[in-house]
Amino acid sequence: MENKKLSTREIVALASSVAIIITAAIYWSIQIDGVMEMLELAYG
Amino acid sequence: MDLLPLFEWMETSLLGQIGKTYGGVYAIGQSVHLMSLALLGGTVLVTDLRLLNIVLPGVSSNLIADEAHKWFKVALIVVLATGIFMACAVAVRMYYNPFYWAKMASLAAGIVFVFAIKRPLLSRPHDELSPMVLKVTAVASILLWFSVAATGRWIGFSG
Repeated sequence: MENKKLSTREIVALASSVAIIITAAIYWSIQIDGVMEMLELAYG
Repeated sequence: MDLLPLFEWMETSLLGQIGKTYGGVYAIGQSVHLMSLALLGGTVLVTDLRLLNIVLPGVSSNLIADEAHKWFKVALIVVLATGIFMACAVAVRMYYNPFYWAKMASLAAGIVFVFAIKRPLLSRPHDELSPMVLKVTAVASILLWFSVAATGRWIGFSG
């Protein structure tokens, strides 16, 4: 089971899942950065 | 392509007028929207947390994924129907709100992900699939639907 080759469906799922995780991580870190910047401007 | 004329038309449509004029009808639409979102989130979470072996480890993940997907489809239809109604009432304001577009993008990605990637994968016996692929898919799914919910809530706190 561990050494079994991944099927096309699994490869597609893995590739798109990794893309989603990376995109979400980038998007949310930009949003959090923006909020922190605004808080710094407001409260120092 | 400029979608502003479409959003202006939505706001002057019958649905837009009803949503604007009758606060009670809008409130009912919003409540049904939130309840169906909760159902949708529940089906996503129970499936994905089972794939991660966090909840219901004694129940077959195939069974959970199949049963949850039926309710996911029901919840999605209600979410979309009530969401369109709510958007009509404030369509032009939504058009200029970046979080509305972030929500629409993550919702579209979520729908494509479920029906083109996740469902075809999970319709096969899970013990024939790589546990690593199942877990990564579950994490991506949770993140996607979290983004839909979070950007949706953010609309209410912006603009």
